[in-house]
Amino acid sequence: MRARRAVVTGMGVVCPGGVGLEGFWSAIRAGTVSTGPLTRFEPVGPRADRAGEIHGFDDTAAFTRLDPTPLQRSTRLSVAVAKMAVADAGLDEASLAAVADRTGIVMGVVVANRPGLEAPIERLYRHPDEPFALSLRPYDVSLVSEAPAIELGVRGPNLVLPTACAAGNSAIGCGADLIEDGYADLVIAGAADELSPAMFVMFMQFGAMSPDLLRPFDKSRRGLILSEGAAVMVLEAEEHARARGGRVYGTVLGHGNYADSYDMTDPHPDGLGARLSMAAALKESGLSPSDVDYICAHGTGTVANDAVEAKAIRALFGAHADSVPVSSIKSVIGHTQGAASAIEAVTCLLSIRDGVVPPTMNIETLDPECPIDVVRDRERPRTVRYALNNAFGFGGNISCVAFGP
Amino acid sequence: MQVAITGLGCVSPFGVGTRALWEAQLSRRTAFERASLDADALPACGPILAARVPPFAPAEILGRKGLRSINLESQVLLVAAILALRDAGREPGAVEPSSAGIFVGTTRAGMDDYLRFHVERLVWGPARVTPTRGPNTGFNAPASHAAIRLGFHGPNMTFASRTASSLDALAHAADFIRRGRAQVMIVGGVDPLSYAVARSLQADDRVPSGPPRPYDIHRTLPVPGEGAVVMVLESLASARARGGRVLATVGAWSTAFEPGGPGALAAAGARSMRGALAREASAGVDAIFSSAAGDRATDAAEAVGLAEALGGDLERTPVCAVKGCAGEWDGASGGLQVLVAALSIAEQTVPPAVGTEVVDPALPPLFLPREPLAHPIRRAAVHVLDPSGHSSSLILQRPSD
Repeated sequence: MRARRAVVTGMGVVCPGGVGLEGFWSAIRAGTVSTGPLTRFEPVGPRADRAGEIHGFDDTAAFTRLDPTPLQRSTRLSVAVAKMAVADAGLDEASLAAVADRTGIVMGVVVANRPGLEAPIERLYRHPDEPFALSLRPYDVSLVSEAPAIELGVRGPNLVLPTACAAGNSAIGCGADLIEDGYADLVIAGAADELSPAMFVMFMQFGAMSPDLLRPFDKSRRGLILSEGAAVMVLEAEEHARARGGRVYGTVLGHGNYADSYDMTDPHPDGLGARLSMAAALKESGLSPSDVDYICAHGTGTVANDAVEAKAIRALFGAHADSVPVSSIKSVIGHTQGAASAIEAVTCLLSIRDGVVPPTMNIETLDPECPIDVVRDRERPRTVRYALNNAFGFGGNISCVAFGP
Repeated sequence: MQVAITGLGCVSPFGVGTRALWEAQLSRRTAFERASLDADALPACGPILAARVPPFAPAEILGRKGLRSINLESQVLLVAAILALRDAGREPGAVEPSSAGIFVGTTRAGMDDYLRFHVERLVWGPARVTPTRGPNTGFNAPASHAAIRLGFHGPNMTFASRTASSLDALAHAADFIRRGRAQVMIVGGVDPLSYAVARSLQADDRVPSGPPRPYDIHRTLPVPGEGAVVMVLESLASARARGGRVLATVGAWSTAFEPGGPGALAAAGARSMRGALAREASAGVDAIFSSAAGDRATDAAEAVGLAEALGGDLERTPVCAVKGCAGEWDGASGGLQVLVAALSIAEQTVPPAVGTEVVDPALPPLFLPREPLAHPIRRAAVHVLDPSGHSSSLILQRPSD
């Protein structure tokens, strides 16, 4: 029995089709697909013209202390969702100030802030004789955790975990550890990422981009759609939350982090890292597979990922895999890269709150190679007591987090 | 559960191997030279003073197979990892794969590949960009490549917290062992010195004109360096059971973030050190392994912070500032400090100050040995203070007999 537990008392999210917790959740529950034509920059190729973009959201509006002008998209989104989550937790500036030294921020990313370097480097390449100065300061990855800390005035542990597409879960797991080990009473944990031509080129090279829709677990799935977004949750020592009368969405019960150790891009063919990570998350949580009511899948819509993820679920859950609902919200909002599992963690907590599993959209024919209970087309009412959140990244970085009441 | 450091590996401006770095520091040698950093199709940016890793042949340690798909920083980290495992007497094949993990601290791994990836697209078009470059553009490339090469399926994470990155990675790795999530952790740091870094130093008017002088009255700016450090962690009990050598045990860690100028910086430095000491069973440290890099403001803040945390004990406690010898390694710096601290505990010797001639009298009194100091070190503090406001402290202990 752990001396301290980390509970979730606030959440904030910004992603395509959903700004703010309830707007996001409505879109996810309704399955309102928000991926579409790429407009942020010129498509880099024929199968790289679809994206999940956030429209109509001023990512500088939340700033009160820092000048957002030089800061990059991921940093600005991080500040926005951090302030949303803190407000959702019922914490104001004065209450945070009282625990500033005991409040940390842990963020995950894939490439955050780095894409901003593309434009100045292109200028240098095209106009080599013109005066040129490039400071890396606005592009430093640490700004995704530092800027929210400065804006909120918090001074506890401040970390970034750039663990590829597992980053959101890595950050949430790390944040929970910091609370359990007594390094902090509150940790704002989550992830952010942005769109970049470089990532489009990379996934285009791999033939891993869908030309139309992201179709997780579909027999004809053709790949992912890159997207942008951010989400964080306020993790709080349970006794701290109870003492102040904070609302509790749920608890971070445990996490598992194993590596595929197979290839920089392809998943382990047997889903070894995925199976080990899910098993470790459940073991640490004191759960068995039969306790799990919902799996929020990584479900990228790529041929390789979905089959391997289904295989790993089948291997760990056995016959119970027939009755554990699985869904991938990436079908709705696209793949928000490092932010994905943070947004999916929010989904897990809201599923627990509302007793509903959100749908996976865009499936025409379920792939028989994915023999799991995929929730399709419309939400499914279900009492969700325990939810498992999967996140698998390039380089074999894998992180799974179990949430409970 | 006590966690032990049982192996060290290093690739530094002094060459491959921990010994080269240690001997350079004991003999007060440096490796600062003017170096040109280029980037293929981009215009040259002019040389800067730096401590660069000299050319070496990673293939001699890693083999040739598949090496071209691994970026340079990952190769360097891998070499350090293999050296560390050998130093620990643990060949990769002899470690249970699912119980062995890898944590790496870095601030910019993959950045050079990201920019080259972008430039190749501009030059050749998106269809002809080097396909192996994409997976190398991520921060997690070194940790991931290392896991694949070593066959380790255990926890694999990358940490970025400025110059505290690899120290923070080590503290978390030790925690993973204590929690039973892994039995062996390879922990390291790596940050390459690249074209973009050189450009940035020029843009920020931070190009050093001379070698770094930590805590010196004439200090001006840090000098960039590069390298990789790796440490092998395992439980003290398992290390003892297999007859492994124990260099040091990992004690308490604490971290703080105080942005906002010199006063706040000093407060961050004091708070992280106090936090670490408060988690220890008894007070006091016998040596301090400082992050002072020769920066006018940050060195002063670190000295003030240490004085606030340690009081009058500070002037009697020898301080080692390795960056005077090896330069500023950014994300790898914390790990470099830990490595030097572990060696110092093992050798019971504090290395002398390098680059420091006259300790700034405006600072709280500091004891920087001018020669290698034979000194009983039961407990050492590794202290990082970054100009951004990050500070982390880690206590290392001499293993009990």
